[in-house]
Amino acid sequence: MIVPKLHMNLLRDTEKVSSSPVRMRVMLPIFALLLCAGCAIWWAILFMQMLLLGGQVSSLKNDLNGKKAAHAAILEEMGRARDLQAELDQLDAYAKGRRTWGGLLAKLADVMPVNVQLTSLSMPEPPIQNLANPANPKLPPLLGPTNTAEAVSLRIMGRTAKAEPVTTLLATLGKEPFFEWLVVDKGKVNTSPRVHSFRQESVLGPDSKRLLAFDVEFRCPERRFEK
Amino acid sequence: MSLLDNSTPTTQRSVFFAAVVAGVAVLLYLFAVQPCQDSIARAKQERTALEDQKRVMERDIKDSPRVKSMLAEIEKARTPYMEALLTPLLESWAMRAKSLLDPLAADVGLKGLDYVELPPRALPLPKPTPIQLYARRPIRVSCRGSYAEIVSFILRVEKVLPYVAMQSFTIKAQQDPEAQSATIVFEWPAKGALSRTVPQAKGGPR
Repeated sequence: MIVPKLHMNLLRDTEKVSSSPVRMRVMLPIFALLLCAGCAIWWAILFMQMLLLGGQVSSLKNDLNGKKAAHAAILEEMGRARDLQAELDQLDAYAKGRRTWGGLLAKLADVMPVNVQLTSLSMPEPPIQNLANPANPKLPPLLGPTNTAEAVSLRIMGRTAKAEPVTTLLATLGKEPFFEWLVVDKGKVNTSPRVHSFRQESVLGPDSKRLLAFDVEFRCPERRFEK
Repeated sequence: MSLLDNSTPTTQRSVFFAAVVAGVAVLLYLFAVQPCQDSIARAKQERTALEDQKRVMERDIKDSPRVKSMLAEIEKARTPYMEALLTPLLESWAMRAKSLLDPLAADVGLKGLDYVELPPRALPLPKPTPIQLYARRPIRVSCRGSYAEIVSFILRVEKVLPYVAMQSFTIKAQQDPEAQSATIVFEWPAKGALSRTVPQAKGGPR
């Protein structure tokens, strides 16, 4: 039998690993170079991006630096406005807590029965403020009270010959226009008016009759130091 | 290694070259790409923060006219209080009160006026707490006069000094109805303590 062509297999066993006609010795360096080139391009893109971002950041910084003075001024004004508003709130609270009594005293003279002689008319001083720190009394005292209300009362003491004028006076004070200043409350806990005493005096009156002394206290609307 | 031992020198060179190039690629990734990525992430964060800051600044600056008008309104509302504040006269609060009340008392004919200053009373704190706090400054006024004169005096004080409040009073009847004894405690708004130390202005005296 005549063989037209002779095929010699010169490949070693180790070289028979790939079916690809391109050998590993060619492909490996190419892949490695491609990988390296890819990394270099990737880095180049990132570097460009970084430069761009750096430019943006520095431009923003310049812009902010330019506005810094104007912003600082407006921040100072905002702080001042906040502080002044807080001051105003405190002063408004004071103004809200202000009550006038001249009208009551003027009207009281108009409704006073003829047979009644007042010996004392008083609005007691409010109790001393307790500014001790409730958490720890050893700490510095509080800058302001936690209670915003202050109780007010009007105490009327006087003399009369009979009981009727006093009851008339109390009835009159329980009506208009005294509602503005005096509280009439028939509740059991904090009654107003509260009669502290109504008794016969030991001294004789001008017509040798024993006079009656009375001591009545009216609760008044609280002074509220609130805005 | 046995694999390379059996290879031709060309293959060996090729593998060695590929390994070196791959090493360079790894080094490029580790020392160029990754730091660059970190820098970009940081720069992006910085840019976002700066953009936010810029937005806030622009908003605040845009808000400037409103703040200015608000400030003017507050100042205007505060002015009557500032004018009504009791200030010490030669370090005496009572003397200032005397200078304000004596003319009113003289108008109605009250006599024997005496002024004593009492301890101040703090006002409830607003929120936020301002640096300058205000307090109630009570002054006790003792005087003599008829009931009508005393009431007239109180009415005048309430009318002429609209921020003066009557804290307490006592009117006691005397033998002479024209000379009742009265003790009235008037209170004024006055400057109180500072809630905190005032921040020193930049460039100011140290």
